Amino acid sequence: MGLYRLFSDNVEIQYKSYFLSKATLFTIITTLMNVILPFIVAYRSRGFWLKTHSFYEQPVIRSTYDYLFLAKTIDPSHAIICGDATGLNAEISNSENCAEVEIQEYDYNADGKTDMLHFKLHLNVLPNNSIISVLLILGMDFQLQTTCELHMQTLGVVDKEFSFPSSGLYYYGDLEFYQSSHLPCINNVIDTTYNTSLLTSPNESQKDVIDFILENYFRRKVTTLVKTLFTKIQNGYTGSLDVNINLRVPEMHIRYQPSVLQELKWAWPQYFSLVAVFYWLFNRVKRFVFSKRLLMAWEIVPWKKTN
Amino acid sequence: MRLLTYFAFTLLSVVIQFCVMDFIQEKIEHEENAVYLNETTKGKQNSIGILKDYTHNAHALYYRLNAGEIKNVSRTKYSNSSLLNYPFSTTTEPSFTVYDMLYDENISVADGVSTTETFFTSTELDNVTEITLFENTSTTTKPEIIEKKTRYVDTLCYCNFMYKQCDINCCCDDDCSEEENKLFRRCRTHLFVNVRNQWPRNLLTCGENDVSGIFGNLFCIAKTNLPDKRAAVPQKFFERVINDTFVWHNNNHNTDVESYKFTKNLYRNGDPVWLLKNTSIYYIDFPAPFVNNYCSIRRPIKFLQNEETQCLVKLMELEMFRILKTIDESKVINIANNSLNSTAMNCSNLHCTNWTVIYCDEDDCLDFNKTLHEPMCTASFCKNIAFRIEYAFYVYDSKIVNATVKLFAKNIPIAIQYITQKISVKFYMGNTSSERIIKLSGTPGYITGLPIITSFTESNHTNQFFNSDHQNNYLTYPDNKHGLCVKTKNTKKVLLFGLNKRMKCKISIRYISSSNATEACLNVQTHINKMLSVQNKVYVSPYGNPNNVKDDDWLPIKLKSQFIYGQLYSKSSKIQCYNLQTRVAFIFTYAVLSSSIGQVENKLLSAKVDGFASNVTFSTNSHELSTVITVDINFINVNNWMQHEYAGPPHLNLNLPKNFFFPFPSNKECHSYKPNILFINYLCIIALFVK
Repeated sequence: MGLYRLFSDNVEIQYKSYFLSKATLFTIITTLMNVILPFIVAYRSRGFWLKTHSFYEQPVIRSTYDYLFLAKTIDPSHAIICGDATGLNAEISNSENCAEVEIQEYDYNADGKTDMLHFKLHLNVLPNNSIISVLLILGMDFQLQTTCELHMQTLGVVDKEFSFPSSGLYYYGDLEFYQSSHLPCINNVIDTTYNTSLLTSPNESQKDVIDFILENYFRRKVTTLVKTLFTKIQNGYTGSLDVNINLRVPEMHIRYQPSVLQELKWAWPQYFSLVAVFYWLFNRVKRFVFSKRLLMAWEIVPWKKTN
Repeated sequence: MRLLTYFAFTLLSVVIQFCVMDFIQEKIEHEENAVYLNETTKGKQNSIGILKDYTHNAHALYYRLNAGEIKNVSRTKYSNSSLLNYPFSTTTEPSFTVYDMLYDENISVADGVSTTETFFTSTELDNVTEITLFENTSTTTKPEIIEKKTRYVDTLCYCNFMYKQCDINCCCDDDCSEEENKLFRRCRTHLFVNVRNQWPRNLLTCGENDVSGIFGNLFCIAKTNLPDKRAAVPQKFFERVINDTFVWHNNNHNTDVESYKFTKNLYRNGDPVWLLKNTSIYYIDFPAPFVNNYCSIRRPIKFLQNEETQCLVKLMELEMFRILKTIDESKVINIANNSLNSTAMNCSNLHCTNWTVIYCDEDDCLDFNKTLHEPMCTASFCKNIAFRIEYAFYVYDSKIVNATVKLFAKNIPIAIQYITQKISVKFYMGNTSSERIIKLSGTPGYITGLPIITSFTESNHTNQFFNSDHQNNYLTYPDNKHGLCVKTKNTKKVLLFGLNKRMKCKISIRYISSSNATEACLNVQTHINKMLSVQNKVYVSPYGNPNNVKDDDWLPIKLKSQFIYGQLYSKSSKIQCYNLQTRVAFIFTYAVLSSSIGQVENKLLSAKVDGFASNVTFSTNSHELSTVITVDINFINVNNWMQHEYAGPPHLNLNLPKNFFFPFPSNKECHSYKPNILFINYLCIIALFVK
């Protein structure tokens, strides 16, 4: 009956020397190199520190029931304005032409997140005032709830021009998250930097209300865009305009700055894997140097008696 | 020293391994070439030159395999010494030559040695001799063959576009003299973009001859894992390809159009509703949109199938004209049991039903009177234009016993080019008029889009709902007609469950100059409240079916009154009304009764109406007090979102002792000393293991 090696253990041979000796210096240098060299190699090969990271999330989007709708006619003096921008109500005339507005939120999978926003508007169009373009600014409440908690007010801007008298616009689009820089993404802190109302225009502002809102929004680092998927225009003047805008809320791609811990977590395996290789390499070198007596050191073998 | 020697050797081996290997390989290949191309050194150079040019045309990794093949091809093929003599020194662009040879199947060259390469399929030795002829390279050049060479060269010169005229910068143009060639700054050395199989330049700088940088080709990938496509071998005729290939479709869809043929049978679900005109029988249809919302097609009205459509139409093509004509000429026919055997097509055999036409204006509905209700136009507007048409068929015993057409008419300005006409077709079982049918809004919970059930009485709401005229069972608010608020019997909006809406319109009330300002303001508020149906307390049913709902469960709604007063500014002819409620918001909260998705039943939990007071200034110049009122409707779902249940983990039926993971016994009396002993025991065991 043969014997099987079930376990093996190494015998430790120690090499000892004085502190101020070539052997000690050699050991210190190799140990330092073992620590530093992997770092240099890992760093110089790029991607050692994680600078950016991203995730996908379907945000919680709700309509704030704020909106501003502008229908331009050929005659600029007859623009039709509907909406609720602060400081605008007093100036709106003929608002009775915004006959009916409907905003619906649809949650198809019953997960508490709106999957589609539907905006519907019935507009009375006076004779000889054919509409040449429409602009909708829809206020929304936007929340990210997983990795980077964020709560902000955002806008869905839909712009469409008509080249002929129209009686209906059917618009289908996706909401997109657009960021000009990474989110700071601090743990357990909800970023509410942009949680301020956007559809406000100070009465004393000399600017055009829509310019003011859009410029204000444009300055943000984080916005939402409306991506047109398809549109359909119903032509022919009927004395009214029906606007149907459907905005889907898909999963959005969000970039953020990783935290220090996440950076370390990313760097550690790279560093450690190189340390292991270098450790083995330097151990071989040390074994060679000491076993061949290239440097002066006392060899202590366990089965030999020491003086 | 020994250590350093070891290091030095290791480094050297690494350098040999990674840097010199490529060089060695190249060397070997070149030597191989030299073996094959022994006979003409010039030819070898040319071959390398070809590849040099070839690699200068940057290519993707995939094509590097082909580059190797090119090398092999040249190596094996040009064993005939004359073939290798490309006219490099004259006017032919070598890369073009090889390129074209490789990718143009029309050009045939000799394949002197039998190889596996299949780029060259024929062995026209004539052409081989043509290419050999160069003044500089071959000493056996025969002058008479130069013409042939020139002709061949011409065919490959991609910049020679002028016949017998020198093309600028075209070095391969034979029409150019040597002096002219010297004038050219740069010879065109590339193919035109539209030449086939042209790959983009400078994508990859790796190449056998590219030794720029310290490492040269060290980091260039010499091979890829792409399949080695060396040749396209035509396959045999495969019949299935015909069916698998997409081709133009046959646009003749006549076979798809449903064709209906009158048969003497009782009506079945889906049969068209037949009409009898004199002796001919045809089915009734209605307009429908096809692509651009215009009423461009017609669809038959089918038995027991309700329809609702909306489309644009020109004034002259209004459906009402067609309907009035149809009603005059024809009758709805039914097949009775006694008429099955008869062949005659008339009302004596068939059961005929006369049309009932009802004309509805904004206020009321009347029997259609041709003289009164005939549509007509003046210079500025058209009157009695039916924009909404409702067909109602009452069915009893598979027979249509009553056919009613309701024409909802209005006056429209002549400037309007198109009219949106709505057409609905409804079938009712029995002979009860649709006005008398009580319509529920849920079973029993509300269904989105159906009206909110309301009671305007103080008590006995459920009985009132089932026994009264159903017109008063719903909460209504004014419709917007050209900006003005209109609330009449036929023109009004019904508050529908689940739809968040905002409506705006302008009210206008005659101003009586004798009354004081406060009275005028109160009058305006009363008018607004009446328009919004909130002048009195109203009760809302919590369910869409109020059957068995107690009076206490009905939800009361009452608009809080404000202290309204007015002030007259006679100088500026204005009245200022304070605390006028021009905006009213209905806010309903509801909960989902059923948890299953798709069969949601909603129960109203609360209902309230809020008025928003504001100060409004009216001008009295026009003797009318007008202001814009707003109705807001909001439905709030108080349910949390669905809690998704997941399958639980597998259950292991293990009966472990109670203290298996917990060493402390439940007996409190022993609590003081026993745990300590056990804990020490555990520690001892752990310590033993560690040691």
